[in-house]
Amino acid sequence: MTMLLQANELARTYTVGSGGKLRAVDDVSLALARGEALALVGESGCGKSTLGRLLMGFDRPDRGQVIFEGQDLATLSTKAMRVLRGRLQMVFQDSGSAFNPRWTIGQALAEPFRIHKRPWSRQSLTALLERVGLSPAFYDRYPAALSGGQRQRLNIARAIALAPQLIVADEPVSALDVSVQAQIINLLRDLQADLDLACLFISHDLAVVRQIADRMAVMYLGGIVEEGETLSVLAVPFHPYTRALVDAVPQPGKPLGAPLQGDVPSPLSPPPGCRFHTRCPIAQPRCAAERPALIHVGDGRKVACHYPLAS
Amino acid sequence: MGSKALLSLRDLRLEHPRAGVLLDGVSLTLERGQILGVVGESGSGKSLTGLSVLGLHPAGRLTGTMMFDGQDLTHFTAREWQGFRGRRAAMIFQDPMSAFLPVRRIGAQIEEQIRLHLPLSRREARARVVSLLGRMGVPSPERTAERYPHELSGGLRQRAMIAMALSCDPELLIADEPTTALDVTVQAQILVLLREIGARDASVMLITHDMGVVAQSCTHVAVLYAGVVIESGPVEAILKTPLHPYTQALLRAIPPLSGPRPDRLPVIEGAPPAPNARPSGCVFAPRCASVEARCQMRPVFRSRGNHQVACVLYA
Ligand SMILES: Nc1ncnc2c1ncn2[C@@H]1O[C@H](COP(=O)(O)OP(=O)(O)OP(=O)(O)O)[C@@H](O)[C@H]1O
Ligand SMILES: Nc1ncnc2c1ncn2[C@@H]1O[C@H](COP(=O)(O)OP(=O)(O)OP(=O)(O)O)[C@@H](O)[C@H]1O
Ligand code: SF4
Ligand SMILES: [Mg+2]
Ligand SMILES: [Mg+2]
Repeated sequence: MTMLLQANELARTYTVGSGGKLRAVDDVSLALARGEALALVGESGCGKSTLGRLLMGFDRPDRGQVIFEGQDLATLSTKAMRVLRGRLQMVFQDSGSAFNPRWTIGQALAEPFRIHKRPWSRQSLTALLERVGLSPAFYDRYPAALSGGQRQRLNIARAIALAPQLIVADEPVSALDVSVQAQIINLLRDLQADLDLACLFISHDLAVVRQIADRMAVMYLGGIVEEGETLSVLAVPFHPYTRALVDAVPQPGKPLGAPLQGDVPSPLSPPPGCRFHTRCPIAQPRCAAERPALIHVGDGRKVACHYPLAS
Repeated sequence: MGSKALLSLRDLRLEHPRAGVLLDGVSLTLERGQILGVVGESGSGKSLTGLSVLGLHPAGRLTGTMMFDGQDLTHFTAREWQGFRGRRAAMIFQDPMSAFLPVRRIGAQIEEQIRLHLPLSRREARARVVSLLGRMGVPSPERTAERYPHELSGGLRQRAMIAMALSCDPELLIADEPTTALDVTVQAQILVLLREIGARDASVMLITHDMGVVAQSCTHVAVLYAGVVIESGPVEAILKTPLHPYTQALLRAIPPLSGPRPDRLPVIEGAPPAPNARPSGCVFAPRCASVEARCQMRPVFRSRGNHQVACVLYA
């Protein structure tokens, strides 16, 4: 099967203030099939957004390649890249500042068409509004009239305007209230199925990820430590870090407890060997010396651990 | 209830001169040794409820009663508030950086807070700081006391802020979204600490928008919607048999982490009303599936078994 998007051994290092090297993404390989929803999860600073930007071609890797429909993004001309932009879209956490307050909602929706020199009509734009569950009556109003959930619907309408093949959604529901979050999750799932849209969904919320993604990849300090079908990974995690993430989610009926001690180490001086060994409850001497590779363990599951659980 | 209550709010209402009625019927009770979750969506009035208990709410007309250990806080003078805040009740926030000055060592800042309220020598105060930090699970407390706020990780900073809040042995700790900015594995550590504090040091009012946090850490819960407490009771009762249609819908809208995955999540259509557009009847009526004619009158908050609920279905 040819993949829609394929990333091979991507690395991105930032040089920070004092000349330190920060490996935000460290040797990540990932593939996304047409119409598939893949979630990227992990704690703050593990490199999810950086990886998302690399996959979109917004940022260039130091090493490795991103291949979209057989084309290496690094080899594309500026013009070819611009054409591609219409087929790759991004949705961010609703910040309220994504829209020009002086543009009507209709104007905001027309923007992608203008940029990509595609035809549009009032009718096609109101159809787009309805597609994301917004009343056409909003067409002539201003973004200030929208609630947080409605603004996120408008963001999504803009992202799907040019019928993209891939959407990267970076924490699209994190800023929303629970009662509104459920509406947006349903909308994203409907669009994904109806438009055969591939979706890379970046989130730190495992319950949201479970509801929305077929497959998931767990990141820790710049690397992927586990990957597989979402329901199977969450039901039976193989990596001790995934296990801890699942155990740490507060849930009714689950006793209170802290599965891990300490904080994530600084990405400026990541531990040698397995990056998780300083917090891992089952670490052995080998873990501090040797970095485990992400290997297939059957059933479409992959894990990077010398002593995977439940196996 | 009654006599044992440490804190009891009845029909608290806060009218802001420009923004309108921000709190519109907040009733809740916190007994000693309880951890009360105050849960609700953004803008529902959680922070204002906490701030009111410390007399730190924005200026406006505050009505209703706020009883703390037999005293009515609504009649407090500025001087009385000074002796109360930090001493009998203290508050912590989502962002610990807001509680500390960036340019001073955290130990010195906690020490100062102690000496403001308690007649201790510097040396005694310093010893108290180290012992407090230790009790809050801060590793090598002597050394950490010498650190500046920005030198600590998010989790440690949060522990330091809790230490400062507990430095004068308050009876009530109000924690406003103390784990919202933290990663889940660190959040779990802080929730364990709050549970210990509830059992050992002070009663806790835990303000959060996360029902999961409430379910795991609290003994009781008050559910806020649009400035109104619409339901309260023991946590197990509210989770198992929520009475108010909003509580019911809210619990259904949370995606499950185990069991069958629903095709679609049950949703609550629409969004909460703004303070200046709040319905005069039941505040949830415009989104409620069980709405009827009687809902045009504001329902009374009354007892039903071990719940208290404001809904005509239980009148
Ligand atoms: N432009 C930049 N310059 C320097 N460092 C950066 C830059 N962007 C990100 N970083 C660092 O790279 C690491 C990964 O950041 P990234 O934003 O990808 O994480 P994330 O997983 O998206 O986190 P969050 O959940 O907080 O959004 C972090 O340590 C971050 O501080
Ligand atoms: N100083 C103020 N002046 C005017 N309005 C205010 C003020 N503080 C809060 N409000 C309004 O009062 C309502 C309740 O605010 P509050 O901060 O208590 O909400 P919250 O439940 O804590 O929300 P969040 O989850 O976003 O923190 C909101 O509509 C808010 O805009
Ligand atoms: S490799 Fe070792 S330290 Fe790393 S997760 Fe596995 S057991 Fe833990
Ligand atoms: Mg990010
Ligand atoms: Mg608040």
